Amino acid sequence: MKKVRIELCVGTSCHMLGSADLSLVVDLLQQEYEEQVEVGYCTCLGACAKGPNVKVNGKVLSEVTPEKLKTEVVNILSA
Amino acid sequence: MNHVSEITKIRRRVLIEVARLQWENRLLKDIDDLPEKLVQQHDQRYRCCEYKEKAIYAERIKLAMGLTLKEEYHKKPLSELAKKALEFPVGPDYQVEVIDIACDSCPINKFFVSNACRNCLIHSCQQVCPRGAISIVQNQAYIDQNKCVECGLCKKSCRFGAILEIHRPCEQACGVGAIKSGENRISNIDHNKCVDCGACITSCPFGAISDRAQILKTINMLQTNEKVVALVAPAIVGQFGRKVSLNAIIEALQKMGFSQVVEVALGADLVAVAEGAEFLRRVPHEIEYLTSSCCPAFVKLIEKHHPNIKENMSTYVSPMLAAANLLKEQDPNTKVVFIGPCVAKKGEAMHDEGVDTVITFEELAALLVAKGINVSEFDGAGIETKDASALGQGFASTGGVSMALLNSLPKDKQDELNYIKAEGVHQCNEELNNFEKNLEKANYLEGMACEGGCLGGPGTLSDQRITSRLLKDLCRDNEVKQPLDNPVVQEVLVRHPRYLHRNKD
Repeated sequence: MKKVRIELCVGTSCHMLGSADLSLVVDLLQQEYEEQVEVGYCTCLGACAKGPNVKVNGKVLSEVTPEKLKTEVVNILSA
Repeated sequence: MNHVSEITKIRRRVLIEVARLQWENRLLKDIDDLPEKLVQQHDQRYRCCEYKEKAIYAERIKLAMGLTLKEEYHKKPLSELAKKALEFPVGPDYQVEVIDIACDSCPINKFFVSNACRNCLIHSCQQVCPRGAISIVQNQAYIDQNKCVECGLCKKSCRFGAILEIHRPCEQACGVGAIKSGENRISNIDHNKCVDCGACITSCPFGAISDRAQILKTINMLQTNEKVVALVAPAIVGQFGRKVSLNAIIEALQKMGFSQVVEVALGADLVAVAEGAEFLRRVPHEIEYLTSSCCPAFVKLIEKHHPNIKENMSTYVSPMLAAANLLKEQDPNTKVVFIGPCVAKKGEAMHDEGVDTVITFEELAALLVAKGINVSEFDGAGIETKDASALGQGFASTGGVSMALLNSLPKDKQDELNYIKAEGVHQCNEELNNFEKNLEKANYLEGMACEGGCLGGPGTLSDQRITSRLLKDLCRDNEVKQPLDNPVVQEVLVRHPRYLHRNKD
C-alpha cells in the first residue's frame, strides 16, 4: 500500500498566503485515503517568500494551491 | 472554499514588502524598485501586460503607505510620495478607495440574453416585459437597455433560464448604495453615503477596492517610543491558525516591540455595564428603544442614513475607545495601537486621541513576517490574559453584545430587555428602517456591520467557521464570566470618567 507523508507549514508567512486552505484539503484527503495519508505540521520550511510551502514525502513544494496539493497527493497514491 | 485568493495574496505581499522596507529603514531608498520586485514574484500575468501590473502595484503601495489615491499623487515617483507618507498625514475621513486602473469596468446591464435563447415560439420574455424592451434580433431575444427597467420578469418567465442577471459584485456587496458605476464605467464610491464597512473590498474579484494602511506610523512608533501598547480586539483568537493560541500571539507581539498587550474586551466589559444602566434609565421613559454603538460602521450607518433616530443610539463610546482612554489616563505618554479585523475603526480612531494607529490582523501579520517573527514558533508559556470577562470577549461574535448587556442587568430587570440583532449592513439597514417606522417590537438593537460580527471583518486572516469555534472555547475557559465580575469595571464605573461618552461635554 502506497503512503504519503504531508508536512504542512503553518508559519505566519505561509498562513498569510493560504496554508489554512491547504489544511482543509488535507482533512478531506485523510478522510478519503485514511491511513495512507499521514499528516504533520511544521513552523518553517525555509522558503517563506514562495509560500505556502508543503513537504510531500520529503520534497518541498512551493506556492502550493489546494488544487495543486490534491493532484500531487492523488498522483503519488495512484502511481 | 479558496479563502486566500490570488487577490488576497497580492495585497498581502505588498503589505509585507512595504513593512519590510520601513523596518529596515530603506523605504526612501528602495521603494521605487518595489513594483518591479513584486511583479517578478509571480510568473502568472493577471493583466494585459507587465506595465499595467506595475502601475497597479504602485497604487497598492500608495495605499499601504497610508496615502490616498488623489489626482495630485498620480505619476509621481514612489520615493517622493514616501517622503510625504513618512510625515504621516492625517488624510481624509473615509477609508475605502477604488484603484481606478485595477477596476475592470464590469458590465452595468443587469439583464442579458445568453446564447441559451432558442428563439422559441411563445416568446414569454417579450410577453411579460412591461416596457416593450424585448425584440427578436437574429433569432434571439434582445433587450433594449434604454427601455429596460430591470424588473426581472423576463428572467423569471424564460423556461430555458436563458436570461442572466448580472451584478457588479461591489454594488451588490454595498448595503447603502454608495458604490456606482461612474465615468468609463469605473466604480465610484460616494463617500457621503459610504460607512467604511469594507464589504466591497472583499467582494471585488479584481482587487480594485482597498483601504489605507497605517503600518508605517505603527512601525515608526515601535522603533522610537518606549511605551507602545497593543490593544487587541477579541476577534484575534485563531487569526494565526488553529494551532496558535492567544497567548502565543501576545508573546509574538511583545517580541515585535509592544511593551504591553491589552484586550479590547476590557473596554467591552465597561461598555456592557454602562450601556445596561443606560438602557434601564432611558427605555421606555425617554426613548422607546436603544441601539448599540460599538461598531463604527453601524454608527456611521445611523448618522448618515437614519439621522432621525440618532438619539436612540447608545451615548457610550466603543470598547476600543473606552480601553484606549483608560490606558492613556494611566499613563499619558503611552502610544496605543488598535489591532482588529476592522476598516471602519481606522476612521473612528481619527476623531479621538485615545488611539494612535489602527491596523488590521492582516496588516499585523505583514509587520510580523517583515520583521522575521514567526508566531507559530511561540507557545505563550508564562503569559496570562486576565483583562476581561468571557462575555466581554464574546463581543467579537454576532449576538455577543446583547448577551453581555443582558447579563449585566440586575436579575429582576433582565426580562425588560427585548433585544434583536442585525449583522451585515444590508440587514442593519433593514432593521433600522423597521425601527424608524415603528414596525419593530424589540427595545434594543445590536448592530454589526459585518456578517458574523467582527469575526467576519474584512481585515481577518482566518475563516470565521474556525475562529468562532475557538472564540467559544476561549470564553468557556475564562473563569471570569460576567463584565460585573471584572474588578476594573467596578473601579472605573464608580468614577464614570467623561471619556466613556461619545459626546464628551
